Amino acid sequence: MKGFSHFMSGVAVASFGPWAIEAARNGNPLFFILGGACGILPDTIDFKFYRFFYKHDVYVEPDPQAPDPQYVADEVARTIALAVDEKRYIRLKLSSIRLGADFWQQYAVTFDNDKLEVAVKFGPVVNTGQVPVEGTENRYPTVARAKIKAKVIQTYDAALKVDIFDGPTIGFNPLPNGDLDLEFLPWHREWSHSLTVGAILGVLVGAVAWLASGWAMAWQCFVTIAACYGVHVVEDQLGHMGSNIFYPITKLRTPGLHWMHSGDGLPNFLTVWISCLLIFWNLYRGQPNMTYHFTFLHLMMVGLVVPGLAFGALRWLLNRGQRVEVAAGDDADDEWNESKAAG
Amino acid sequence: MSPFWIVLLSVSAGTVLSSVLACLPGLHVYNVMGAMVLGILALEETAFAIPSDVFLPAMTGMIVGWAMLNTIPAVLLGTPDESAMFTVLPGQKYLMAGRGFEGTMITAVGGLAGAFFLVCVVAPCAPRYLPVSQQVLKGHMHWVLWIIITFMLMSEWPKGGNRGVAGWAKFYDAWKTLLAGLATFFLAGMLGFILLTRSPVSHEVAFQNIMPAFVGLFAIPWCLLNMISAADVPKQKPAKSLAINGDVILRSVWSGGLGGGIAAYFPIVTGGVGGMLAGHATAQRDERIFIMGQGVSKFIYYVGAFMLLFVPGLNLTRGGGAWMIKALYTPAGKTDYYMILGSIAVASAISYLMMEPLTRVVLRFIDRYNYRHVSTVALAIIIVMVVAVTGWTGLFIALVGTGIGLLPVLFGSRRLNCLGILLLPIACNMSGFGEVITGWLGLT
Amino acid sequence: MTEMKEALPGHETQSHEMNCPKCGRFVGAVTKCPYCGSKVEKRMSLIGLRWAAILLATIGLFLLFLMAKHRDVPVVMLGNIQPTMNFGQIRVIGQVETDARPFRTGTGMSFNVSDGTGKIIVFVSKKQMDALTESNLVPKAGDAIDFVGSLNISDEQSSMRLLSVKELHLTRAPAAAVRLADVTTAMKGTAITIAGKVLDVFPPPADSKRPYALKIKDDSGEQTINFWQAEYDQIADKDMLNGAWVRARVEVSTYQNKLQLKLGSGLDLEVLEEPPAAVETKTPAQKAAAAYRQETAPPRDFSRGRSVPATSLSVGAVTVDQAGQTVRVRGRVESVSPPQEGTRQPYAVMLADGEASLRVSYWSNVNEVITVKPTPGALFEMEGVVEVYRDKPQLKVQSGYKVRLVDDTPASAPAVDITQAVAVSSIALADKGQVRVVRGTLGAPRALRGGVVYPLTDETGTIDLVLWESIIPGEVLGALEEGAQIAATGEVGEYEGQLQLKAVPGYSAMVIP
Repeated sequence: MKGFSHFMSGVAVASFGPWAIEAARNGNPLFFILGGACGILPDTIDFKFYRFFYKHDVYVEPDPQAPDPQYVADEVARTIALAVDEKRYIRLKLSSIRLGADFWQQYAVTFDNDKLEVAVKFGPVVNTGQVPVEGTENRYPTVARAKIKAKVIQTYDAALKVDIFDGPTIGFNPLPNGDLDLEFLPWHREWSHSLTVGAILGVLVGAVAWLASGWAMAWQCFVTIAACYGVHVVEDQLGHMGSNIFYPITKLRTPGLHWMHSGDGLPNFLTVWISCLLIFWNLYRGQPNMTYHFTFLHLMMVGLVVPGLAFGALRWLLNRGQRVEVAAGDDADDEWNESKAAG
Repeated sequence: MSPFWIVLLSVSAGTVLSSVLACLPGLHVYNVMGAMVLGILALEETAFAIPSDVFLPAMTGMIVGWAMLNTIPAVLLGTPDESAMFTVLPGQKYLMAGRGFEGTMITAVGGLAGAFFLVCVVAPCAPRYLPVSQQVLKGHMHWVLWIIITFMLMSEWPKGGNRGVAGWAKFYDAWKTLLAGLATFFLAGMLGFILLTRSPVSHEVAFQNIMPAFVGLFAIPWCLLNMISAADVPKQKPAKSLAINGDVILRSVWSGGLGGGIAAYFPIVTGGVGGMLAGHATAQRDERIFIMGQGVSKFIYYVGAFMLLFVPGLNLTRGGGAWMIKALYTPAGKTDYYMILGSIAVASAISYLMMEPLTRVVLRFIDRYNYRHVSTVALAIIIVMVVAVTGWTGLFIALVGTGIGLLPVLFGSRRLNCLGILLLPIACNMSGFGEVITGWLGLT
Repeated sequence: MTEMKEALPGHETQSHEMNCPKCGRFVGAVTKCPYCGSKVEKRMSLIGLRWAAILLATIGLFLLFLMAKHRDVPVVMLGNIQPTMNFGQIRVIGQVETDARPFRTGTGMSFNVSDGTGKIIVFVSKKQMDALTESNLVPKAGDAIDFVGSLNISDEQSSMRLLSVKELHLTRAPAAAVRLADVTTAMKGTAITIAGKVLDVFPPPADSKRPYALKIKDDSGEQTINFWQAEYDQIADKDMLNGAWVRARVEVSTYQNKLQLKLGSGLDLEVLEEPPAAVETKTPAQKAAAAYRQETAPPRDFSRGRSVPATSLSVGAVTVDQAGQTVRVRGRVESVSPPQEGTRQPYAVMLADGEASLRVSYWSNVNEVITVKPTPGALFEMEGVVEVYRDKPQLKVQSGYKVRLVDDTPASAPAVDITQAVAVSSIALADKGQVRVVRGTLGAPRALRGGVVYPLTDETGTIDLVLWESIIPGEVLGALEEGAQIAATGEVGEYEGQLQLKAVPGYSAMVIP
């Protein structure tokens, strides 16, 4: 899921703690800040800290002056050969190509297991909004190819597309049958995306809170942090990539439930909106002296069902007779791209 | 003359006036409205006293006209500076692609869609549901500001560290932009604490306390960068079609309405912050939707905030326009509400119709005059305005604001961080520990 | 494989300084090429701008901070305040007009200040309120005050927010030393100093909302001082009170028409090491003078810095011919009709003076500003514009500051006639709109916006008793508590399918001893 969805989910989870509402009413925003921050923290750890310290075996850094797809294809093939020959996990970094203040050269890497080839195609120049610059689509019509030593197995449909800001990391893991398992962004959703780390963080902050304010503050901080951090892990599990749920007990990511892609617009918006409604409901329950009264069902009808139906009906009216294409989402790629594009 | 014609003429006059003023870069409608408020107060007990039937629709028209048309200078006179810019706003991309006219007109359609949304959807529901939400959220606004600050600071993407081997050097390269953003936010916050606690500006003009700082944070850096920029505006092509359909409008209203709504309803949250949150919540990546959504968001933010003052039973003052009106008039009941809604509808139609001719006039203007010279003139006007209203002290504040406002542009972070000037001190004050911080600083 | 390419759109206008001079690659704003490590020269204007930005943002900000820190906040007369001063920080030197009253929500308090040229309400945050309470600086009527605050000017409710507790200087109003026997209800509203020997301290019963009672005695007689737990906790030698000689500064008030001495702060009670010097006995003439409450002319009202001259009139003197004129009228409140919930009707108050009566109306936002709300029987002075309503004169009050309590002792406090009491179970939906008297025990209260609901139980059943603050005097509301035996007169109503009794305006509820 996207950062804002995780953030709002964290705030919503925090609002279920009566102590959070009580503290907020007394001017203390701590628990809500903790909720939001811990909701987004696993991705923050990965995207803003861990990835800069993640060591790679091969760096592919195309020259912006002379972007050469064959160089990229050869380097990817060399990396695969390294993984096959040395029978070890090899990490490859595909760097972005910056052409100007707002111009980036896009390129894509695909594997053809039937022909045992890697294909690299340089696409259009895109701006920082990832929108192609008009007239640049066919600057590099040639597809560069290089032979690879083993089949590359992709467990999910991640398109290895490189464009703005930072490029992705790919991990090649040799399998017993000689194939290579491709891991997209191996530094992502690793140890940081685990319930145990959330709990440990809760204990650490709780200990500080205990020293500063006593036992009540300690357990309230622990519950808030562990629950809000945990909800991030649980939400990510609804997608394809999954998370390393009980690190260090588990060493690998547990595949997700495939219910959604992390970049899908509707689930993300619904998560944010339902979080807002849950927060509103919890604040209502904690607000004394209310002269207005409503039920949870009433709130959901007024806040979600009726506007949703109205929006759907209006959209149907405006789009009838037209074909509306909805781009298929891609879990890791979307999360990675959305984070970058959001700036 | 019947009240109908008085209101109609007043709203039309206000809209036309602000539509023309909106084309002048660097001038904010609230500065003009502030001067008008002073005039109205001066005439209040004379034979020339201006009745509320005249000034309310006129000011509504001014806000609507400005919300709709200030896109023109924002797009057509806001050329990006390649020398230092890391990111370029979509509106400016349209300008650099020779499609400035298209960019402004798409925004105008967004503004009109925002007017429909406000008058036809929000206005009928507001008297029923907003007092409820107001009662539920009473006492909770402070932490809403805190989580907005938290998200704003946590969601900025590190723009460096894209090449080279892993390690501290790469980490530092990435975090340079984030640190610049954090520094901007906290320096702006400190400036806010100073101005809100013990402003050096004379108390006689305290209502413009923050104005020099805002001019420094946003307007002067824009003029300076335009002046030193090496870029030229390419020849602009008029568009035959805007290539938008109902779905684009609907999705723009969805994202822009959410962003503008957040900004209008929550205190201190500006249109920029609301737009950022809505962008994250709805993730509309289409540039047309982004630009049109900005039109919707801006309209809802300025006009919606003003409208809240008149919602029966709500008694909520949001935005500079509403605060100014509050010094003149206390809204009473549905009569005022319907008058304001009618004024918004009429003003939206007039300002939309004025969009195309005024855009063409400005395009002819930038075709004839170098926009760097236009920026120089705008900078001179801004400085004269600051000195005239707040004196040399105000100019000093504007200079300090300029220093802070240039940091994100020159060091590649979000300009939104400049809003720390209000977000940080007011969130602290609302949570009740603002005085502790000003006490540490020795200001109180 | 490299293919030839044309210049990218937009690149034709891009400055060459953005590319590395050695390798030609785009490097942006950096001064060292990340590709080849060469130094990238930038334009002087850009370098200058960078340094100027850093210096202005740091040193400039520091200088601005020093400037602000050492700035003296200007003293401004309230009558000279102009709308252009909105949000400004000013110093006010004046006198506290009303005791600081905590908000019902407990989030702060407010008090009124006058400086002879005008008056204004001052809001105090919760943290500031706690700090003021702790240091015994809670403003009381009559205290001289010097404080710094920020202005919030609006058409209806101009106010100030206290900026800092440190910059609030309070000089207590002189409190005359009075013998216990000389304390009378005529001194109501004044602060006095009394001294004597503590006979006993009566803490409130557990789970009770009653205050502490401290009984003291001097040569002339006995009195009881009341205070709450918070004040008790502040008393320095509270464990040694029994039998000790004490001196206290108290406020004289009444409760159910009986004399009450209220201790504002525990710090106002001092345990003495020896008996206090005797207070000089007053002559009958002095007593009469002390009892006489001099009516001073009210200071000019502050309203957006402008003053509107008002003529003081009796209720009967207001006529339709005065339409458009601003007048000040004094009369007893006959009735108060708040707007019905969900409507935007104004408040309607009937002022009476003998046979004559006058309708006064104002909006809810005006009502919110009124410090002491009009209640039936109380004498009020109101200022507003004369309008014509149904061919009769009506006073339209524009500002809450212009509604002032003169005397809250009702001319004839209506008591509840217990003999008319009916059984709760006898009240039915058919009685809707009828007035009924009930007696019973109050249950746990539920707060409403602007009122309170108590379940009232007698032997036959329970009914909700609704008491609106705007129509029921504060002392009546203050006397009610959970478990109290009361009698009440109210109108039968219905809310969400439940029967309720809406207490009628005035003294319509009373505790049965």
